[in-house]
Amino acid sequence: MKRIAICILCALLGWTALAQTRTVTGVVSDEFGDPLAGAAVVAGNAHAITDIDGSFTLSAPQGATVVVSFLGYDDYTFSVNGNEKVNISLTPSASTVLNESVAIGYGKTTKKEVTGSVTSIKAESLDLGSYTNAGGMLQGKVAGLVVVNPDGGDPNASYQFLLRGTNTLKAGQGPLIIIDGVVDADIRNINFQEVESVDVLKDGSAAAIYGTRGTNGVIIITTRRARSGVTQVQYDGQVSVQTVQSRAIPMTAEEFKYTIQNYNPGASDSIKGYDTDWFKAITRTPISHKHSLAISGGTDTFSHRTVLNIEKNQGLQLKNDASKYLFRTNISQKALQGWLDLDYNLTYVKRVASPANYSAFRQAFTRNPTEPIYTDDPAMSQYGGYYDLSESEYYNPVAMIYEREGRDETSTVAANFRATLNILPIKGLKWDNFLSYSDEKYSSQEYKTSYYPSSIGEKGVAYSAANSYDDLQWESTLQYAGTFDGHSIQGILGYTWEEKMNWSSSMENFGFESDFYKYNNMALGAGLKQGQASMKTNRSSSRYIAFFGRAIYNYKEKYLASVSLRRDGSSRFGKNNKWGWFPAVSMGWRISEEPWMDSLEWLSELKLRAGFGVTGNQDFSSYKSLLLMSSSSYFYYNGDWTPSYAPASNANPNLAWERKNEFNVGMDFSFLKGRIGGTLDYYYRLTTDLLYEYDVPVPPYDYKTLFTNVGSISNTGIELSLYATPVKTRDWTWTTSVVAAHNENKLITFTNEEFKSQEYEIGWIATPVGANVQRLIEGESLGSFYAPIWLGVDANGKDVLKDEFKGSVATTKWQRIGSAYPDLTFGWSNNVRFRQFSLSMTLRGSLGGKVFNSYRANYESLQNMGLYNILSSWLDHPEFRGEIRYSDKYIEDASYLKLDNVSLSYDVPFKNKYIHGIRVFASGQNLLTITGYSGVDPEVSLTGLTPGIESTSYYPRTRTFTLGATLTF
Amino acid sequence: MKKILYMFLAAAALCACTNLDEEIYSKISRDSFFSSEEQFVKYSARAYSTLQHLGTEKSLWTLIIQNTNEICVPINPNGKWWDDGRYYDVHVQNISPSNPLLENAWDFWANGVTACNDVLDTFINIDQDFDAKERAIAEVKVLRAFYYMCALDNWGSAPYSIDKSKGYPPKKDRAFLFEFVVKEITDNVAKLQKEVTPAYYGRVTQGMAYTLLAKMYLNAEKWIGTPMWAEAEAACKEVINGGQYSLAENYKDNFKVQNETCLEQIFAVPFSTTYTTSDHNAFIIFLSTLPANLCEPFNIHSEAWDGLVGEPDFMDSYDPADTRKADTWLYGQMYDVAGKALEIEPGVPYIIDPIFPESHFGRGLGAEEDESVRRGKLEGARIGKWTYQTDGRISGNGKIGMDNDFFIFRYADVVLMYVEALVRQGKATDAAEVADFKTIRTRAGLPAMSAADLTLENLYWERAHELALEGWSRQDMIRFDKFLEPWWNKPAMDESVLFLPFPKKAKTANPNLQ
Repeated sequence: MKRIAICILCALLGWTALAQTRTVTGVVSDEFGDPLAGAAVVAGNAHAITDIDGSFTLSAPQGATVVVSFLGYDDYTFSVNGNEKVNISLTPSASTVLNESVAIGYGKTTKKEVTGSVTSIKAESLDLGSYTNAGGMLQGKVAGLVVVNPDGGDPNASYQFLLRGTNTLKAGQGPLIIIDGVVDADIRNINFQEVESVDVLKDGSAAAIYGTRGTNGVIIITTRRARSGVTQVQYDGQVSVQTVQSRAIPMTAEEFKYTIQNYNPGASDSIKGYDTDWFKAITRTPISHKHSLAISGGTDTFSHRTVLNIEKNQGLQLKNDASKYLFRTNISQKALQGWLDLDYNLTYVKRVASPANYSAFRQAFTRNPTEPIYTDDPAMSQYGGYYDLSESEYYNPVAMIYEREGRDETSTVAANFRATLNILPIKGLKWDNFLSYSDEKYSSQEYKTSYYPSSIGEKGVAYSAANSYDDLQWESTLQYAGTFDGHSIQGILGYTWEEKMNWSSSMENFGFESDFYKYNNMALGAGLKQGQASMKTNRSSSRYIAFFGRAIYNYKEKYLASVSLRRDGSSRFGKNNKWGWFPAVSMGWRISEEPWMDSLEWLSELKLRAGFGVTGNQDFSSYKSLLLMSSSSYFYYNGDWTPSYAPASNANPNLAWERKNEFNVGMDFSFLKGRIGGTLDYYYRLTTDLLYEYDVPVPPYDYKTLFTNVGSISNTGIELSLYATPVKTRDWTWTTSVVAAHNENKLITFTNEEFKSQEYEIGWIATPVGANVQRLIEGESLGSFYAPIWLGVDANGKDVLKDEFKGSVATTKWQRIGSAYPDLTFGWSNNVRFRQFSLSMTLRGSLGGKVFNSYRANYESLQNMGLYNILSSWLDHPEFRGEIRYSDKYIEDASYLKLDNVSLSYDVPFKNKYIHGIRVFASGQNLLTITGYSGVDPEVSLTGLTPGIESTSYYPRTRTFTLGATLTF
Repeated sequence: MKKILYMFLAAAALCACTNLDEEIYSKISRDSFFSSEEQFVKYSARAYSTLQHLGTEKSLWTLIIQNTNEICVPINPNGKWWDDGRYYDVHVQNISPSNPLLENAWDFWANGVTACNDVLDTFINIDQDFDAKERAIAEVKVLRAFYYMCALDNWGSAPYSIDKSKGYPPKKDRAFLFEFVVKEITDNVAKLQKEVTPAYYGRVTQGMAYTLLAKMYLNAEKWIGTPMWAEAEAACKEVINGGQYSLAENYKDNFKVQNETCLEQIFAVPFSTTYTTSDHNAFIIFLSTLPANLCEPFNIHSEAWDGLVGEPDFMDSYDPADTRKADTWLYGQMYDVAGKALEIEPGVPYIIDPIFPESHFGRGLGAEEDESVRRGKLEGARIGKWTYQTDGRISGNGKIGMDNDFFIFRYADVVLMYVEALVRQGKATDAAEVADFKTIRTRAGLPAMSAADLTLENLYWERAHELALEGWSRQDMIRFDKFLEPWWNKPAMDESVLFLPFPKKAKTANPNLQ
């Protein structure tokens, strides 16, 4: 940039001297001789852009210096020498990647200058396809960030994130998401196709600038912004279909009959003579489509980008839908002769969902396949034409779908405004103010008709809820950036203030004379008159304030350093602990810039980094530090029932954040002009003051548990990212990248002299399993499975367990089976381009974790066969006839390799005056899973205190096939 | 540059944006709770509402009736209720410290004491005065004495904490706690309400305090080794001569759905189908005892759990003429609300046999699948003492709980204690002449007892049948030396089981209990 400025200056001087205009024409091509369209050709204030054939015409004074530049290529400079025709071949620049900007929170730096552990992803390396939100695009792309969708093909599914292991016991694990400067923004409120870049601040030194919200990592998403120039209109459209990829498979009617007749004749009454595929009866082939229109353009002083987005998504389950309507505009304006930059964003998003009934999938699984769906048997008239039996937890799934009406609607209005005052007398100094407000309104209604199976006799149950979430933030920063004699300085001082306000209300009534009203006239239910309708409202708020500062220094882009400090406060903390300090320091040394490294021509970049930073976690609900009274039981007083009040929590004036200290060392390297490169990081994070609920003696305490800071956890790991371009010719390019991470989690302590918890046996699985499958043991990893060892089955078909005594194995004799956390997670992305075709493929995998197979543990046994259906896979183990007993046979290896995405796109070589580009693509997602796991999906939730337990209430996994097109006008 | 920095800092400071106090909207901080006298009374309500826990599935009350000869919980016809042996262990008096029934039973008195301490602390420390302040304090003190009676009765020793000083409360022995309870009652009884009025229904009155005192003295010999029969007699006399209570005409009036006007009640726990409906305060004995297939015929919209049944030996102990057997238990032919005789399946009448073999009380996980060691569908008398509500308001979907109030103390108990105190002092002749005692007998369809009939053995069974399932059996059996004897399938036990163990949770939370 500086160089261009100097050239411009030269050109200006030249022009006054000679002032003789020449016309230069030429063709700009790449290293293979192919024309480059859109390259800038600049000589002073004369400029031209190459057209589709790479050709340009420029009028410039004799002797002027012309600079030809194109993103990703080194600039080419020549002097005007008469009216001439030039052919210019640009060479790709080695350092593109190094100069890419990286968002680091309250500012930017470049990849070569960054000293913390930050992964930066540009839109080009994200996969094409269909996502419920932008979170899904990060799967397998960031070393050390595990992104899991525990809800399969649900169109309302959200992703869970786990960065560098579990660092908490009871607080939240979601990373801090920042979208276009708005802290803690909702990732569902942007269109995933609008993402321009994603930066993940991983280590403590990078995240410490976010203080008590930095521990779980910070994900900074930048969307496409306003751009000056001619009006550009882009349409993206896609249509997807889904098919079932994986589900729990029950016995067919045939298998059910066979099994009962041969192995369980006592249950012969259960054979009813029909053949019903219950899964099929509640599912469909879902079709979804998404359309978006983006318009951008404007002048240098006023430009905008406006996006309209409509999505209609169907779920696999009947009546399960999700749609989204999004309007978003970004306006950029300059005023006061460069003193003031203004940026406005306005978003309106409405999401409408008809939520899935997860338990209908389980009922469809356990439902007797020889029962019919419907019946006209008068003895079952109370079920409204559905075949049903009065058995507990046994409901007709088809009735669960059709006799229930649910609607959720979320609408969000968000506006923010940024004003940057450039204090021009001091170059590089600016004062930035950012004000953001968002108002989310959520409403949910549900009606279960008088024939809804679990509420027969209630005569219709109506439920309605309305919530609102307000978020107001103000941020003010003073920033400076400058370079003197090779000393480059970037500094920031800032203040931020944020308030969140939640309001929720709900009501329920039942006993309707007619199902006609649904939830639309709830006062009519008899429950209200009987005093049994319910009505609830709740309001809570939290406030968050911080002062922060950071200085980044480098000498000749060789020696790098960064220091930051944050003073962070939150209303959630106890009154003795409202504020905390969060310092960080990091340093870098670009060895490749040393003169004595010049001889190593193959080495393009070698940088060593080291950093230390303190962050916190305050993701717990408000008012945890206060002694609150809640109206508890009603009390009969003087002939009337009046509410009584009791403490609902103990006061804890010392309640504080969970504190994490993290040390990170890393290395960035690239060879052969950036054709091969990568990053290696090692970290050690120690989280102390972990929060947990401890039993305390009552009396003297007011309440039986105290939420307080006691324990500590460590996570140690290595992360590796490699990228390479093995093939790069005129027609072919193959780029590939691999990310891999290993993390070791250790619960160091969770009790102390004063606070003990006997709840070290956790992960309760209800009957018939009836066991706590995991334990919190100091010195071991979280998510540790414990179980009796299964030895086989005896002659009666009963499980034989090791150390069995009088029919059971003492819990002290159980053994550690392993941890739910994997030893290694990895992702491998490939992109092969051939002329206008581009084929990409992403594989992702996990090695070494354990998973509890809930379906097998509950349903691979004859124990409840008859009334209930069981897993078809029981037929593979017909020797097992005994009751279900918890043992290690239900804890399986969760290793897997998934083919996440294959997509092929084609840039149609058709352009005219109106149409500037056409691109079509086809993609397949979640195509294949290679695993030894016998359950539904080895990729289960890894967050929370009991990771690795597959739920019996689940949504089937689906493959998604998408066809899409992008038209640019 | 510096100037701008100062300006900026000044701006930040000016907007006073460093305030991090929490604003509360939907709960109330105790500091801002008291604004009227009525609030005080409502505040003390939480010391009372803790009593509602008695009616739940796992409570001190259900522990006591299972720990004695009244109730047993065999594995039911559907293979349920083994639950790691928690009910079995209570039945055979082999309770482990981690048994959930034990933990909940402990919480009953511990939460009660905590609530009373907190209320007292607040009452005593608050500046505001109101007319009934002295009485309100006395009420809560005696209520705390009741909770401590529960602790010393069942656990012997207990952590002693009567104020809000932090730190682990010390463990105090039974003699210490006994003295504390007696002193609290005698110091405060005069300040309490004497007349029974609707405003004092369910609250601590003089009648309640004297009945509690009578129970202390009656058990003094067992608890502290000093017989105090004369004191017990005097305490009972206070209640009897106070003239506030009388026997109900019908035994069943004590247990009917709308029993709050019954003149026999001395200390009631009011329950309501509308207001006490959650798992920590609803009276849900119907869920624990009824089989699912009796719910619809009784117009109860619920799937009850079919667990607690009468122990066969106890069922066999009644005099055939004793109407209290049928008033306490459901057995024989079952009828629906319209009076129609029920069939359990077509052609098979629904007749419950209260007597069943010991072999049907299976033990261990195996029993869950072995039908031959389960209780049969038509076996085991069900609890029927509290009349089932047939108005259809008891239903599933969280709307559970019976309307019947539970009488912790009632007048017949005081009469029987009085009789016992006399007999223990060798005044059987006087005892036989107590008019209310005669009425208790005749009300049950039995002849009055003569002085010769008034042996301790007979007196025990009279109490057992009159007060069956009301939560006094453990104390009574210990006092009459019955508790350690074998019955039905329970073996003879040594004296260690006279005390319940401290629950594991309580020991974890307070090292003084280790």
